[in-house]
Amino acid sequence: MNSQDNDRSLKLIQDLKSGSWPAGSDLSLEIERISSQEGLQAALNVLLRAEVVLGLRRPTLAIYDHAFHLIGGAQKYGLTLASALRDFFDITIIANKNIRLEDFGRWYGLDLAGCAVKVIKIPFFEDRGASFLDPAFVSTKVENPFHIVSRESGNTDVFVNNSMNEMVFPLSNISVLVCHFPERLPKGYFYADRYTYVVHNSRYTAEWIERMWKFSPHQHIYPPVDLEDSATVLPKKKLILSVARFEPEGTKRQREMVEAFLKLDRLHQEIIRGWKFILVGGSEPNNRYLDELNGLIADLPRRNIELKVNIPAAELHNLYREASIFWHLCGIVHDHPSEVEHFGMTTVEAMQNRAVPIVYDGGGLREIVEHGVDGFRVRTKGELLQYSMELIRHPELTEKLGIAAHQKAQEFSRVRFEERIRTFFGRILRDYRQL
Amino acid sequence: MDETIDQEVRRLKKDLLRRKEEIGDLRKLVNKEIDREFEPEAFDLTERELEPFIEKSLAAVKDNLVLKAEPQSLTSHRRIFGRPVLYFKRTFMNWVDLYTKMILDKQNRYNRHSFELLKVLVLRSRWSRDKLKELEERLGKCEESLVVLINKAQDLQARLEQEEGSADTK
Repeated sequence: MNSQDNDRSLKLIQDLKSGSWPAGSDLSLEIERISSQEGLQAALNVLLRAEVVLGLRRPTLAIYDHAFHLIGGAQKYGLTLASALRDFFDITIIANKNIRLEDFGRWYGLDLAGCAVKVIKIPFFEDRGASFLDPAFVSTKVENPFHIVSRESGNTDVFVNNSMNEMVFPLSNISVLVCHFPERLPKGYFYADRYTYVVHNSRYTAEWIERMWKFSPHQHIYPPVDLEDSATVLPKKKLILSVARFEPEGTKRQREMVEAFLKLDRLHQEIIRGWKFILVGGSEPNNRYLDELNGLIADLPRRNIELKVNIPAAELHNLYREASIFWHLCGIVHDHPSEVEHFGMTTVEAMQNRAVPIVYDGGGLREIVEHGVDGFRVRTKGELLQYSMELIRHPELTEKLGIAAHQKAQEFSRVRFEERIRTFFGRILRDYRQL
Repeated sequence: MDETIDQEVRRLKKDLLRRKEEIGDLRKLVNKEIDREFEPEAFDLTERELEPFIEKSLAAVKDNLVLKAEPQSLTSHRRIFGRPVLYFKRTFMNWVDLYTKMILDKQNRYNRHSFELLKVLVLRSRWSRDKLKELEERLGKCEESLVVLINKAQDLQARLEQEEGSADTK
């Protein structure tokens, strides 16, 4: 809609609100004019906004993610956002596969009562039996299969696209793209720049949005991390922990960490006597990378490296509480910026539980860990070993950094996230209502 | 609030939603084209995207390597003078061809040399990259061993000093 038409539409809504809409004037004629000039969606948008401005109904927000049926950090971000905005909007969660509110509650411990779930199946992926709807499979040789969602976006006041999928064209009055990382360069069916606002989850993501998409995102909101336990603090054990998915491509770099620990075990056994390295993560069945890792540790006489796959949340939480050191090397080898941690939720989870993080010096991890203050950032496995030995040798330093890590992690808590979300969307809603 | 206005807004919205269902094409819904062409900028490519880009570009250069002058078909609309005009035109073009072919041949030779050089440079960059990767790995392993061994030596030295200290006090 151009600015002149936009002004006319606003004037129309203002007149309706103030009661100065001329008696006898035909509203339908004006709506029809907008429809013929700007398209039917523009006319519908005027009426949607008029309803909210006139107080005929509560504003609506639809949040979409093509991966809502899978457990993930990005999906937790979107659903926590929905949970935080229930007082502001009538919320609909749009998914592409069957899913229920109870599933979200079980996975993320979120209260989403009052939200509706709408499942919009996409024939393109259903016909192929795909369980994951990968936008990379869509070329411009076929009709954009995500337009079924684009159409739906135009039936709400605010549309939030929480997925790493820029193929949904936003039609609503206000649209927000939550960018967890810009994975692809602009090519066919690219609409990221058509959204009213782009929210980014870290400065690293913002930097790559600028480099790859050539525009600056609008709002920075870190993801919510809420693994802090107010219960009694457990005494720390001689435990190094790693928590990351066992990606079949090995992008979380568990192999590099196992090799580093093995080297320590081989060359300087005394220093790690009594220490254990546990790697926790989710995995799909038949994961060759996981088999490879199991092969690496199979013949260890001391059994001081352990892999724990798909363990319950309570067990994971206990491990966080017991761990003294947390390793995370995602990004130490990479040929694409998406292979570096965009943020690093598990690192914050570890910090919330007073484990000292030693992480790769890159990506979003730089924003979480301040080197030497609340953990260490490393560029090589050699540095990883150096700082690990320093912590092992000096328990008082480990304790001090653990406390600092815990303090720093408050910045990324769910409470802070919800505050930021409410402030941002509150401002949007105020402007929407006040014209 | 005027109730008739409320009702009118609701009625019109319902009507538009119904009509929206009947419009299949998103472009018609917004009365404009929504898709654009994007050309990837080489400087924006990440390391992962470089190899496919190099392969694609080399193939494209190879396809367009040889420049050939397209023979132009000559016709005339003149009924009487057409044939002599065409005769002079052909003679002139054959004469000009001697020079253009000479220039094009030179350009073709230059293209071939440049292409061969490009291929060799790509090959060298691949070798260098592989060697660099191998060296990085070896260097990394040395660094790891060195770090651990230095720590071990320090621990041993500390233990030795401790033992010497306790021997002295005895």
